[in-house]
Amino acid sequence: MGTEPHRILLLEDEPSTLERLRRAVEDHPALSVCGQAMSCREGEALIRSGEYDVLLSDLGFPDGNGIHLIRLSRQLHPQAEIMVITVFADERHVLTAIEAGASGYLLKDGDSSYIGESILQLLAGGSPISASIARHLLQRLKPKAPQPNPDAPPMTPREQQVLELVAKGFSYAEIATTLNISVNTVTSHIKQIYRKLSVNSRGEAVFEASQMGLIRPL
Amino acid sequence: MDLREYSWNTLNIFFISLLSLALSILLLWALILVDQHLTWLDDGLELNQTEFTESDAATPPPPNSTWYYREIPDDWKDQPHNGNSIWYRFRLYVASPPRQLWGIYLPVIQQNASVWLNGELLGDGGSFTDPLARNWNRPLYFSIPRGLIRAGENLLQVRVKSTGNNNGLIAPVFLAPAESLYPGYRMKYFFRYTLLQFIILSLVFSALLLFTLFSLRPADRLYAWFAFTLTVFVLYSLKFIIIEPPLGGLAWDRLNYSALIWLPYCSTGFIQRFIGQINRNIELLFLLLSTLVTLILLMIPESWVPRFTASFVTSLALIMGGYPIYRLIHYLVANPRRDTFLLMTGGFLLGVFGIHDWLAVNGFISRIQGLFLPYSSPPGLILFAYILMRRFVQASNESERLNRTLQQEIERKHRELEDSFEQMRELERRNAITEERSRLMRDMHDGMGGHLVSLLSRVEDERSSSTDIARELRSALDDLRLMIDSMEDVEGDLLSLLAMLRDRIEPRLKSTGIRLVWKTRNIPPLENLSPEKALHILRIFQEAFTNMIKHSKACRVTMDVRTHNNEKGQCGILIDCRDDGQGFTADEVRSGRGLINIQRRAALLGGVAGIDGHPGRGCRVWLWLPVARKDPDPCIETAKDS
Repeated sequence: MGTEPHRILLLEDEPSTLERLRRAVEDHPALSVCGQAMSCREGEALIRSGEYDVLLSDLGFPDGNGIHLIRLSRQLHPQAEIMVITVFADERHVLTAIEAGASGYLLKDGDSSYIGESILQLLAGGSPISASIARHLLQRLKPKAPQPNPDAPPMTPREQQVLELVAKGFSYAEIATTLNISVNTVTSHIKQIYRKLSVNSRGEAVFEASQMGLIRPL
Repeated sequence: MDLREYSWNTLNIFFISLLSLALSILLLWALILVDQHLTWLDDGLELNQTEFTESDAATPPPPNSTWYYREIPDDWKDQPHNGNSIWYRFRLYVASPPRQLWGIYLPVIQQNASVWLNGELLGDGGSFTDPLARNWNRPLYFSIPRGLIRAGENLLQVRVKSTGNNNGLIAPVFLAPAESLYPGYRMKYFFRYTLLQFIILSLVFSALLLFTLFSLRPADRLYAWFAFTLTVFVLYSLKFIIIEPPLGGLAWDRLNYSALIWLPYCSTGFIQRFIGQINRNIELLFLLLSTLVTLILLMIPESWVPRFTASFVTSLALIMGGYPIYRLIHYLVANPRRDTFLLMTGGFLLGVFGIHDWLAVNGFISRIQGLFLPYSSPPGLILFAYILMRRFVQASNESERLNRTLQQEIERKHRELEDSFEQMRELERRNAITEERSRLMRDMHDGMGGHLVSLLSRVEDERSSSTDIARELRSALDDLRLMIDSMEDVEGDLLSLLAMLRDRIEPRLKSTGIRLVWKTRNIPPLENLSPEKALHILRIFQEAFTNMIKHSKACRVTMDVRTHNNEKGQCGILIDCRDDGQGFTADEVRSGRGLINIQRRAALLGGVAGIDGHPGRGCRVWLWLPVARKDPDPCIETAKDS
C-alpha cells in the first residue's frame, strides 16, 4: 500500500489487552499505532498533543472515565473516528460512548482480523450498529412524558425504519434489499443517527440529549 | 348514684317544675287581667240591665212585642233562649244632647251583633245570613252620628245572633264619649284580634318552613310531626281571626273542632320523637280516637254539633292533650338539661291555657274573658325553633368536626397504604433479587462454571494446546454474553432476541467461511419471555452454531423463523436452523448429549425441539414454541433472503 497507514491512538488500562490490541492493529498493514496510554491523564495528554486518525478507548480507567476522553477527542480532533473498546458491547457502555461522540465499538476479545476489519470499515465510512443498540435507540425515541424538544434534530421515519430492521437482526445488505435502497444509503442513515445522537457541545452533551428526550434520566 | 346528689337533683327538678307551672299560671292570669282591663272600662256608661225579645227579624222588632227583663252580661249558656236571634233594648235618658262624638262599645259578642239607636242602624259585626259572622275575639265599636242622641229617652237596640240558642253571649255594653271609649276598644282589638292574626300567621310560616325542611330531610320525622302539630293548631285557631267563615251552616265549626281533636295526636307524635321515646300504641290509639271523633263530628246533625263539641270534643282533647305534656314533663324530670325550665314552661303553658279554655267553654268559669289557647303557642314555638336551630348548629359543627376527622383518617390511611405499598415493593424487590440471584447462580453453574472447570482441567493437562484453552475461554465469554443478552428486555420479541445472537455469531461464521441466511417473518410476540427462557433459546442455537462451526464443514446456514401450527393445530413459532454441511447419522445424534440438552431446554420453554441429520445432506436444529393466538394471520414476510 502506497499511502501512509492510518494512525491509531490506543487507550486501555489493562496491559495485556493493550498489548493484544496493539498487536492486532500493527498486524494490519494499513494501520499503525501512533500512541498508547494506560490512564486518563496520559490519554488526555496524548489527545491534546498528538495527531491521529482513530481513537480506540476503553471507558474504565483507574483515574477516571473514558467518556471524558472521547468528548475531548471529538472536540479537539473532529475528523478523527472514535471507537470504544468493550467486553460485552452492552448498551450502557456503547450508548454513552456514542452520545459522547464515538461512532463504533470494538470487542476486546475480538481476534486480530476482526479488529483490523472493524477499524477499516469505520474509516471507509461504515457505521456498525448492533441489534441491541438499535433497539435501545428505538426505545428512547418512543414518545414519553417529556416530549422531545422541537428544536432537537428529529429522527426521520426512514431512519427509524432502518433502526427497526437492525433491531430485528437484519444486515445492512438485507435492509437495503427490503427497503429497495443501496447499502450506502443504509450506512448513511446509520451515520446520521449517530450524528444526531452525539451533540457538538461536549460539556452539555448528556444534559442536552436528555432535553431532546433521547436519554432517559437514570 | 350519690344519695345526696340525687335528692338535691330531685328537689331541684321539683322546684323547677313548680316554678314553670307557676310561671304559666301567672302568664295566663296576666293575660286575663289585661283582657278584663280592656273589657270593663272605667269610663262611660255601662248598660247592665235590659229587656229582650226573641226575633229573627233583621230590623228592630215593634215595641209591642213581648219583652223580658234580663241582666247584662247575658250568657246564653247559663240561661238558654228559645231561639238563636235575640233583640235587646236599652232605654237611655239624656238631659241634653252631647256635644262630643259618642260611641258604643261591645267588648264581647257571641257571635254577631247589630246595633240600632233610635231606629237608626249604627253598624254590625258582619253577615247575619248563613254563614253567620263569628266575632269570637273581635270587640265591636260604633260611632254615634252627631244629633242622633236626643234629649230625653233614647232607645238602643242590639241584635245578637249565635249558631245555637245556648252559645250566644253579650258582655257589658258601654256608651260613652268616643275619646274615652275608643282607645280601650283599639287596645282590645289589637290584643284579641290583630295579635292573634300575627301569631297564627307566624305559625303558618313556621309550618311551611318545617314542611320544607322535612321534604329536604325526609329521614327527620321530627320536623314533619312539628309541622303537622302547627298545622292543626292553626286550623283550630283560624276561627278566632276569620269573621266571615268560608263554609255555611256549622261546617266551619265541625272543621275547627276536628282540628282540635287532632292536636293531641300530632303533638304526641312530635314530643315522642323529640324526647326519643316512642310509644306506638298510644299513637295508634290517638289516631283511632281522632279519626272516630272526626267522623262523628262530620256526620252528626247540626243541632247536636254545639253540645257535642263544647262538652265531649273539648274534654277528650284536654285529656288526650295532657298526655304529650305529661310525657314531656316526665322526660325532663328524668333527664334534666340546660333548657329544662324553658321546655317545661312551654309544656305547662299549653296545659294551663287548655284547661282554662275547657273550663270556659264548658261554663265552669266566665266566658266573657274569652279563650286563650292560641296565646300559648308563641313561647312554645320560639322555644322549639330555638332548639331546632341549636340542633342544626350542633349537627353542622359535628359534621365539620367529622369532616376534619375523616380528612385526617384519610390522610392516615393514605400514609398507611403508602407504607404498606412501600413494604410490598421492597418485598417484591427482594423477591426479584432472590429469584434473579438463584437464576444467575443456576446459569453460571450451567454455563460459566462448566467452562471454568473444563478450562481448569485443560490448563492442568499439559497436553492441552493454547488453542484449545483459547477456544474454551471464548466459549466462556460467549456464554457470558448470552447471559447479558438474555437479560435485555425485548418485550417478548423473539426476533430482537435472535438478532442479538446473530450479532454475536455472525463474525465467527464469517471468519469460518460460512454464509448466514437470515429468513424471518413477522411473528406474534412470545408471552412471558423471561430472561431465563430467553437464555434457553439463545443457548439452544448458540450450541447449534458452535457445533456447526466445529463439525459441519458447511458453507451456508439458513436461519428461518416463522409461525407454524403443530400437528394439533396449535399456533406456534418455528425456529429452523439448517446447514448444508456433511450431516450425520441418526445414531450419532442419539449418542450425543446435544439432543438431550436441547430437548430439556425446549421442555422448560413449553415447546419441542429436535435435531435432524442425514449423512451428506446437512443438519437441521429446530425449536417450536407455542404462542397465544391473537393475530389471525401473522405470517407476513418482511424480509427476503439476503
